[in-house]
Amino acid sequence: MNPPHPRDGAPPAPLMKLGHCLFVLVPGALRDTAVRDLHDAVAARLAKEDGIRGLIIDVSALGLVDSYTARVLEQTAHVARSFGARAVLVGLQPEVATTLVELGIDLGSVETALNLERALARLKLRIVSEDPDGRP
Amino acid sequence: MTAANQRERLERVIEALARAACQDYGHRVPVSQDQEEDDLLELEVGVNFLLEDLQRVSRQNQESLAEIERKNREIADRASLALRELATPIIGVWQGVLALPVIGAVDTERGADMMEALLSRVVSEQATHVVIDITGVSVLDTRTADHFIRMAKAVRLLGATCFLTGISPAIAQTLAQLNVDTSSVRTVKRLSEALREVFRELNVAPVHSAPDPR
Amino acid sequence: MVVRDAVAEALAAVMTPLLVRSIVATLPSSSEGEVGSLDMMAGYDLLRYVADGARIFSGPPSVDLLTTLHDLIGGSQSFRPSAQVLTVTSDHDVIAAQDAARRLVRALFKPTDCVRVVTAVSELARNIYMYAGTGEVRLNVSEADRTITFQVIASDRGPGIARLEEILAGTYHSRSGLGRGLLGAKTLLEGLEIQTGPQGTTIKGVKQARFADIMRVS
Repeated sequence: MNPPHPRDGAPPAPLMKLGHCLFVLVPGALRDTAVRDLHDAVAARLAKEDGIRGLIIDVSALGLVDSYTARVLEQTAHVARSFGARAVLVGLQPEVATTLVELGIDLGSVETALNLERALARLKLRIVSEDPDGRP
Repeated sequence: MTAANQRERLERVIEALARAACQDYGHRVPVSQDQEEDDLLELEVGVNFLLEDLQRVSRQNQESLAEIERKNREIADRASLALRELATPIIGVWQGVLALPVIGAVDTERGADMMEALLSRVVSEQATHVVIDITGVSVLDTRTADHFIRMAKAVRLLGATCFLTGISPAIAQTLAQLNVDTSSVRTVKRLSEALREVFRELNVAPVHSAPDPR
Repeated sequence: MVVRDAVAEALAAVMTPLLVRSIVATLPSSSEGEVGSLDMMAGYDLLRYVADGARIFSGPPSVDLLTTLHDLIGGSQSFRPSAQVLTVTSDHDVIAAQDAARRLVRALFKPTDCVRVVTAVSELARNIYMYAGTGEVRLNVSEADRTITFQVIASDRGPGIARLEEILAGTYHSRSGLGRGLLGAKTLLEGLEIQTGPQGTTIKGVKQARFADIMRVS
């Protein structure tokens, strides 16, 4: 009998709204059902809301991306594109990138960014920070 | 002492010498405690002293040899480590811009080392652009070219723009024939062209004095 | 002899007593076992711990010191093998297989190779539940002659893999991805042995590393 997995029953990664973008922080381990749920949640959200121009998928915590996860992530990016939103993959770990290209997967159709700041800049989303005197 | 007894004792001495001839110095001629002193006894004891010496010297030789081998291995290890470090020259040409001019032979091990070093530099410096120049690779067959294309794809996956320079038209054609997908990699003929493109994207004119490139 | 004492003895030859004491004082609990009782996971975990401690105090330990330590702690030239068997019937089990593989190789291979191994195990485990419904993944790490070997055996009683030659040649592109995963596992590991037929499939994959190489990286 396999040991029980701690993530059983946990809610899927939430989709957050940042300006005109959707943002999702992918957890460290992603079972197939979870990555499919992510894809479906993105599709449903984009179908429901207008004006979303970007989708940021932060994978900096993801320690493993195999062929299935990669394919579904790619499909998620395509879904976003079909609704007029640009998808950007952020923070892929070096070891994971190495393994992916060795698997022959380059996610060529998905944009990538090294960090959140660059992804936001690329999607032209400005987060205005206020200092204590209220100046932007 | 009977003749039989004498013969037996001589045989034991010969046995000990024969074994020593085969480098078994651990054997000794058995000498009984109450053996009366005779010429044969002198021979037996003498041979045993000789064997003792031989054993000691042999052990010392083995230890010295082992020490020499150990030192050799250490030197070899250190040398190859130094070589591996020299062999992956990643240059920070500008803030956020890395260049990797590859020179010489690239075997699987060196190739893997380079890829790891480059990817980890990309992350640690949060590079925006990387230029991999393979003009200087001594044997650029399709397998090696394929490795560098994979390296460029991995850099792009991390989020930096990657240029691959130095692929001849012949190699490019072969890669296309082998259905190697190079669409996500920007291949440019010359390193200088790639750098010019990088600076254009960064909106920096290389002629003017520039901020400290770190 | 207790492992802790063996470590102290080996380090005493190259470090001051004070340093030896401080490293030995903080050894993990596995050091309380008898020499020769540790398996690959515990053994290498301990070895890396000592190597890291030594590095902080007196610079990177030489491969020779590490070899001596290894043999002293292990009581011979190899630690006992570590193994785990998992049943795979769902995508949840794929994660369990990933975790098990990661735990087994974490102290052994360098990080990139660990990810390669775990990804390959993931691909093989997924193929089991997706195409055969249920099956088994056996993981094993062992060593001999200063070479560490990771082995995965994925087996099921499914319908078998059709068009195997095309898949392995990379010319078959299934929409479902069976070929991709199998080819991927083959690339990530060193060689794949595949036996398949209508009665089921058994796939064996291996990854190796030399002691001198993995200890150099730590």
